[in-house]
Amino acid sequence: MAYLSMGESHRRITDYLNRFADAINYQDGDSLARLFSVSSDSPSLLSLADALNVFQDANRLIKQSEKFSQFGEVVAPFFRSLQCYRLGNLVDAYGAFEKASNAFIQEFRNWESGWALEALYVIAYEIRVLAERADRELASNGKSPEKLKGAGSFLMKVFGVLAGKGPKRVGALYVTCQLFKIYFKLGTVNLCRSVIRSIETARIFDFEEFPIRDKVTYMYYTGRLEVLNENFPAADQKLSYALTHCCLSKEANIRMILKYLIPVKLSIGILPKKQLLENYDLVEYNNIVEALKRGDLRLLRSALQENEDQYVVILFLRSGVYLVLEKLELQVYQRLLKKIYIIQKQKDPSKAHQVKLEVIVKALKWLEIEMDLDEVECIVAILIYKNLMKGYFAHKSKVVVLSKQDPFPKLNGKPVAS
Amino acid sequence: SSSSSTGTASAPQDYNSYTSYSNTTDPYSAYSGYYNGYQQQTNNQYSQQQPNPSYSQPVEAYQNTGAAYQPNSSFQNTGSYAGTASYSTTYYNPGNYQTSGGYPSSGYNNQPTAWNNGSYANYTSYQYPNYTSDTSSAYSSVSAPATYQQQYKQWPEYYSQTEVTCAPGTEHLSAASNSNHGSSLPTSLPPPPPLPPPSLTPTWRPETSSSELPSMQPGGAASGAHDNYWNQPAPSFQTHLAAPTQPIYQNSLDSKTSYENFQELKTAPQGLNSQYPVVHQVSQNYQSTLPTVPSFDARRVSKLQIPTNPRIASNAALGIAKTEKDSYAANSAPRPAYISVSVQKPNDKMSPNNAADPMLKPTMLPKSLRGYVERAFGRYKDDDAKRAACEAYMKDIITEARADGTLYTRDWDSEPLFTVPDSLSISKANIQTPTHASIPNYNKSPVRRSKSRWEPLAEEKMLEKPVSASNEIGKYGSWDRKTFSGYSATKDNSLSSFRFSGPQQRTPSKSAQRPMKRQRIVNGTGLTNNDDDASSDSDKEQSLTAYYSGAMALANNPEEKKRRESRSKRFDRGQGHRPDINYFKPKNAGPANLYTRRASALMLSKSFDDSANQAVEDIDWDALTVKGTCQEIEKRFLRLTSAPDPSTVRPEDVLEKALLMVQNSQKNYLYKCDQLKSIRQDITVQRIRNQLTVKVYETHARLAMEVGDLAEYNQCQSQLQILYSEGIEGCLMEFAAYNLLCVILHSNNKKDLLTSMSRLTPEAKEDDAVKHALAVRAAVTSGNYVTFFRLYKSAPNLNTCLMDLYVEKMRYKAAVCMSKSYRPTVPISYIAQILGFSNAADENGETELSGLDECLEWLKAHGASLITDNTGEMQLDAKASSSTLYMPEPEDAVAHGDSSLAVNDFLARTT
Repeated sequence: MAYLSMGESHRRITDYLNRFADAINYQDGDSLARLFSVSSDSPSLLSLADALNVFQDANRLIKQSEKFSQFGEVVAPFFRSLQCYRLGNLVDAYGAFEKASNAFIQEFRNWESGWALEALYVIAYEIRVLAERADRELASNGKSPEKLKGAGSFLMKVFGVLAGKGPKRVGALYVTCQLFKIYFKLGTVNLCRSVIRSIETARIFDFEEFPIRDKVTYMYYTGRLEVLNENFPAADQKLSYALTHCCLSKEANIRMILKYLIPVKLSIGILPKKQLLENYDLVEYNNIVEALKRGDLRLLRSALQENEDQYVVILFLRSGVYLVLEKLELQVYQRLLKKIYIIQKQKDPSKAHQVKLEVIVKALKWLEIEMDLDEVECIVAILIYKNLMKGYFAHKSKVVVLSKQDPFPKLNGKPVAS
Repeated sequence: SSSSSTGTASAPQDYNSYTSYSNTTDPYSAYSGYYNGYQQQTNNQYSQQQPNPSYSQPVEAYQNTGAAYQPNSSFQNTGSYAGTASYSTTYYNPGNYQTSGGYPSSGYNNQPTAWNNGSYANYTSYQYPNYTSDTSSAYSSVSAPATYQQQYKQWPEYYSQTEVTCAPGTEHLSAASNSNHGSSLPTSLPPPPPLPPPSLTPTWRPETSSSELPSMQPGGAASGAHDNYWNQPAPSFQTHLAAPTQPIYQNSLDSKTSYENFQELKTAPQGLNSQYPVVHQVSQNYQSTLPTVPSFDARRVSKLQIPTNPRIASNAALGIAKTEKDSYAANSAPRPAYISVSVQKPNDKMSPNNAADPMLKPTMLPKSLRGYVERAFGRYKDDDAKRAACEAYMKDIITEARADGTLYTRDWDSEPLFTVPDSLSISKANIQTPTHASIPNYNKSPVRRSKSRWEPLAEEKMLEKPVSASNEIGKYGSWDRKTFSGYSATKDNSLSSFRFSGPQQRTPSKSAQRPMKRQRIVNGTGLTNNDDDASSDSDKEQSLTAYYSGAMALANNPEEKKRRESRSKRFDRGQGHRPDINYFKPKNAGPANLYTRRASALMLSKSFDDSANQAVEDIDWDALTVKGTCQEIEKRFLRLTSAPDPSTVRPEDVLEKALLMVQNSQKNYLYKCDQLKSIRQDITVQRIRNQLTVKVYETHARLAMEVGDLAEYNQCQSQLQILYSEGIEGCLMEFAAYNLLCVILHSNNKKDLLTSMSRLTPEAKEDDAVKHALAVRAAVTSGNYVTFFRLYKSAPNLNTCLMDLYVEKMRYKAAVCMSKSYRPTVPISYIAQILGFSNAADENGETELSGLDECLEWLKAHGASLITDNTGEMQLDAKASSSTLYMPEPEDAVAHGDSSLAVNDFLARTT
């Protein structure tokens, strides 16, 4: 850190205070937002942080003038937060920032209009980001990371401030999305439910009224929740909404959406084009799509089994789509049987609708999958039961008798019956 | 003189205590009470602290921490009581009854007096010797009315003539009530009390209603007393004060006559106070005071015994009181009288003076008020703002009181409020109202008391005098709370006084309300009693006696006594700061050492840190851990309701033997479960976390699995996961598999499943048990019943046991699936084989057959339609069955969903 004179430090601090006061006096939300974004590492804030570390008695400056002292409760802890952040003490930075935010929320509550929403967004964002970093620091010190949890409850409070009539309510969805991020990170997704309920049922909220940015994020997270619940039609609807409304330039976001949307689509019988997977670097799905197309059970299993590609499997497990992909197995069986049926049809159309169990076992053997008659019989029974195949199984003769009309109905967007 | 100096010192302390109290508008007040007591005890040390505002804050912090300890439920209870307050007023509107009705507690004592107006003189003389405390209490209530005052005046004479002891008591009653109120004012003074305005209004209302009634003289008289009753919190404080104060005084003032007098006075107030809260309480308090008093006299040297006394005393008193209640009215209670007498004897000389003072106070209230106001202001010299606030409020209050014509009542009522408030501007008003009451006492006391014990103090420093008085009161307040809480606890029949302390300590209004409810009951009884001669007990009271006797029994059992002794010894040690902690102990009947230490640690942590978390981390838990000394291997499980007693906790080596014993035991699961739970408890309280811990939990988890006790299994499993994550060795893989199975089969929580799967290490995935569990999971998710039942047969460890619980579901699913996809029929033999009905396929034909029969039975039970084909083999008619299959209600289903808890079964298993 280059040498910084007291005078320069003093100037920087008063400059910040002036800008802060101006932003509030002119109700300039954007400027105010910029003044809060600690983690943005903007040059002006970094230089302010240096100045604060040189000029230790910033609080005196705040108290000196009436103009500044009215914001003292916000600015003083914010300064401390900035100082700590600059010095790499993220836990304290978070603590001070929460204090500053708290004071700001108190002020915000009293403002009629939503001019300061931008600043509030920044605060909500900073709270989350600082908490995450603070937790990382705590974890590396062997302490229990708890700041993110605290950030969650703080944001719940902020949500309460916004959830009401008036212009401020449009900010509620942003806070909700930050909460989702926290809950997903903490693995406490069940906490999302209460927020979702108030967003979707409270009359004060009109979903279309929220900013598009927040709507996309919201749909992405609620879609993920539906994936976890294996409610594929709802997941499809929400994730598709997110995809169609997502800004095309945000490729990373689109990729994140597709990561969940593709398994959902697969499980309702819709396969993606190869180009899509490549465009968005989702090659981990390549084998799965291929297996579905070919009815290649071995390929599917290898894609989902740890020995082959540990990384991908962990990826699937982490994101929660593993269980969805695993359920594709039945569709692969269906595809395999259909193939057998087609081949038989080519040979002898009159007997094509009767598939012997032995044939299936043999086909599986070619795929290097050892299954005995009982197991295959069970699979066939399940296929018929789940309506992936029309027909019946004759136990006595060990033959699958397929319906002559559309023996392998397509899912066409409907999920496999449970 | 030295006495005066002590007085001053004590005054500051009171302030502290009051500040804390005022804070206590919320539930935490109980703690504040403790804290107060604490300060009082260590007057010397703390007096210094008083000047520092910073110190006072810590006090608050303590209280806050206290809050955490107090269960919320207790508060809710108080809430329910809130309604009763208003109810009582409306309910009792009819003239005379109001007073008695509204103030049920008073009803008992007061009414007798009112009724016996004619025979008053007789009454006094007759009861006097025996009843010192009783009579005094009754009189005190009466004292308010002008008509009775005359009699009161006579009292002093009686006192002097008959027994001095009696006189002081009676005087004190009236005086005490006054003085207490007055004192309460001072307390409010120190910090600007932040009483919540709402709280005030409720308390006031009752008064006004009562004021209307007072037109009747008896009623009016009663109202004075009643006001006190209304504000139960306040009165309760006073009552309890007696016991605590005595010890305190003894400590600091030991040999000073003036202090002794104080003690006497206090004892007298006790009787009165006790009566206020509830009729029952009155009697109880009585007794409680009696035992405590003698003990104090005997051992003045032992300073710190007080804390134990209040609680115990209250309990014991309760028990006694109840039983004696009947006799109480008719028979002059012998016990109380004796005790009180003994106590008061030393003070006899002084008592006459005291008597005179109290007399004056009630009558002169208005004047006293003015005088007191001035003094109050004088106190506030340093704080202009407070003063101004005080003034404004006082004016308001006085005008109001005048308008109502219930200056008296108002003051009394305001008392509790006053004490409670913290430092809010609003509260100031409240504070002042109490001051009115207190003022009268002071004013008069100087005039007539020229030679009273108070005098020396007063002369030295006029301002100080009130302070000292307030100090006493303050102490009383804290003590009262304690005893009160103890009382409530006993009432609720739960011995954990902790909880109950909460409600009472809440805002004054609420606490007042709570007592009110009891009072109402009492009133009803009291009324009838009056009619009938006041000797008959109501059923309710009798039922209550049961509680009390129970509580008493507990209090009297030898162990309990031992503990108390040890406690009192601890107090003797008198570590400067410890007293505060000690206050916690009285509440817990259990062995308090560890407990208090822990509590104090928590308190400290919370009080000194905004974000309690950090402090909690810093607590030295090792210092708080119990080291068991019990050598018995067998021990029944009993959920701890208090701190563990080392003498009943087994050390590690014994626990190991106990575990072995359980493992080799031939007894049934219920016995083993009980034993294992007690082992787990001992391990937990000693904070043993090693392989033994893991072994115990593993053993228990396995046993629980074998009998399908999922609840117990889950407890063990969650503990085991923590233990394993700490790196303690155990059957990690085995239990990882169990965990997986449990999630898959029983919770069906996708998120949990995903997390436990992603946590599996590559090595874990190579483990047979884990592999098996994963395969089971795959079979279940795909609905592959063939695989499932194959895995069922080949399950390692106890995986079978967990799968057992899912078998029924899986079979049903399979049957439904088969009936839909098979045509025309499925042989039963095949189904039996596929669905695992023939457990031992490799055994002889008999088992096969039995498996087939079992399968048949099962299919029939589930509504399958069966046919016999031409070869004579039983077949499942798939098409017919597809619409008739159903899941029968399990035969052993019980309403609460856990068949293992079915009563019959339970009894069968235990015997």
